[in-house]
Amino acid sequence: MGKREREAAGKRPASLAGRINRIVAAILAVGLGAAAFVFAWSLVEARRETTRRSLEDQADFLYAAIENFMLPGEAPIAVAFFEDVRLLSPDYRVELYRSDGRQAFSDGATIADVNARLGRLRFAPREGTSAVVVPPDGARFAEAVAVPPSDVFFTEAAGGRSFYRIYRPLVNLPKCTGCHGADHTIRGVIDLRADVTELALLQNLTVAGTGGGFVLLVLLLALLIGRFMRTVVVRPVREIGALCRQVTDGRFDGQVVPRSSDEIGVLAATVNGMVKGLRERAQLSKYVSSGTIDSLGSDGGRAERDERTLLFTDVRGFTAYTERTEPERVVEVLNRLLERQSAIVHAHGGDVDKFVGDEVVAVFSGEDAARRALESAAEIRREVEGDSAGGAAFDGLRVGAGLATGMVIHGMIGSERRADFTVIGDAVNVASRLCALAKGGEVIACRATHDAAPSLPFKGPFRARLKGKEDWQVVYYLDVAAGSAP
Amino acid sequence: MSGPGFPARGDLAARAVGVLSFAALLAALSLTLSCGKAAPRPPLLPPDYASWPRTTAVALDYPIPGHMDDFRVIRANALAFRTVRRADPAGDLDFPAGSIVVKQAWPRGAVEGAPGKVYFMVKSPADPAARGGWVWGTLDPATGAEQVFEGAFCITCHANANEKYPYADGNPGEAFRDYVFFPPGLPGADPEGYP
Repeated sequence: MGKREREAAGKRPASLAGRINRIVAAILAVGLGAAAFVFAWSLVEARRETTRRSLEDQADFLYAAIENFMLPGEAPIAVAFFEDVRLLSPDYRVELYRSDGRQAFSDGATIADVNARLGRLRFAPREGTSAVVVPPDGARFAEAVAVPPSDVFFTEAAGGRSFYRIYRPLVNLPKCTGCHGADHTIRGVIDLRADVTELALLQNLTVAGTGGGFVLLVLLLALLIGRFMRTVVVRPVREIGALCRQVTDGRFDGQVVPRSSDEIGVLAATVNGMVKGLRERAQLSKYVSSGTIDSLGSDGGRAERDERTLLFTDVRGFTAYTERTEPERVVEVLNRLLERQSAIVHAHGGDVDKFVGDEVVAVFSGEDAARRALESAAEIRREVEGDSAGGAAFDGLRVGAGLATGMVIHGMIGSERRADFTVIGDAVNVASRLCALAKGGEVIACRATHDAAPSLPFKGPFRARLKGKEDWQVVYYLDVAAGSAP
Repeated sequence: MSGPGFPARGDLAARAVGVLSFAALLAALSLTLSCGKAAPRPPLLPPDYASWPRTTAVALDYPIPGHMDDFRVIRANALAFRTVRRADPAGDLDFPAGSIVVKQAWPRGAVEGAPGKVYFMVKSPADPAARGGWVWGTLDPATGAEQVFEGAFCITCHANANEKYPYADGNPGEAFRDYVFFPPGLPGADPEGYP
């Protein structure tokens, strides 16, 4: 089942606000996530590089110290210097190796070699055996003592602690060859190791803090942007939707307040204009017929000839009623009577062409127009007669009705200043005469109307002489009281 | 939708697409630039270096750190020779940019034929790879490929040339010899060099 089908099945569609929030959160997560990752990575690399350079600088200082201690033959001072440096901090270790990996100053081999090369007892022989206190990393150590040599920086972990370490090769300088000979290029390696466990922990805490801050930032920004989008987009769209629902329900009194001049603001103004037009049309429909309103949007000036069924109703004894009743009551009852008749006509697909005093002129067109007109007349008669039997809505007033069917001319009739879309023709005259003929509660139809709906209960035919007609006319009385009437 | 009051269609979208496209272009450009290979360095050593005069007649066949016991021949270009001829033979030296000292090295016992390796130092203080004003490198005679050393190894040893050292005249006055152990025109040597 597709999304639209699910929505059509009554499930709640995804809200625009939720969708926007998800999109915003996704964009922020990707964008800020990348930024946080780069930041954390840069932090780790910066600390690593800083430590590396620091170790390199320390190696340079040690290199210079060793060089200056050894040249005047002050090896014991160099030994003491190294021992003092080792005592500086438990997190910091410095070692000096010969190029073969043995620890320097750990035996008398170098002293014996120098004395032999100089041909005299330049340094007092030293007891002891060579040892490798901290075995150097083989491959990295070999890289450090290769020709050309290079500094080797690396990290390692041991005993649950993290270390940065550097191998710094000592070159056998020409000025060193007097004591140590010229048959080798690298004399040894300075090994510096810094314990960075706390530093790494700090890095991890910083990265974790950055990550937490990133998550909070994403949530906060998503919240703010979501709220902003709800204010700018979702709320105005909802208000426009609510207004459209009101219009669908037949209420045209709503308006949307445009909050901006962007596309949504323009849409709100457009919908307001549309609703205003509909409201005016609804108001206008109270005063003019539907045909007149429809003709406004078309070529209303063009007259046409068509078959129509005309329904005329008239209140019997209305003049006498007005003379004995307060004007306010007269207007109230008449309006109620006209309103009910108008509603019944509309319910049967007819159009109230005009009210003339207490008279209603209605036009029915299209298929089954005569039947619908007769049914309207019957319903009007039932409602009014029912009230006259004891009701107070219409003060006992009664209505007579006349119907005629025939070809009429319809179009805009009137002047440039005032015109109506109405009908003229013989059927109009006949319906009017039949209405005048009908007494209270009677519904009289012409032959054509009767013939168009013969299944309805009629009485007749009867002959009637109508004003303006030389011949007798055949008329029928709708038998509303027969019980089988519509 | 074409209501007269609506803004021009696609204004916001077009602007957003434009900004995104520009950002993507910048990203792609920076990525390309950062990942692009550096332009290859033009050769530093002229092809006629082997015809330059030698700076010393001393047989350099004794072992030294860095070059071990290779048989070595040291030559310098005309600019280096001219510089030395105008200087105090026992005084400080400051080779101008463009000066080149080259050291041909043959493995002991194979002096004949092409050298096994060629070392050079080119005075070029503005070069990012320069150490002590010199660019240090090697040439593989078999392939003609040059390799520049950007580390401190070469200069670490050659810095001894600026103080007393155990070669040539030993630099007894500890003159600044601009990192060259056997510059042309040392006391007792022919300032025109040796063929």
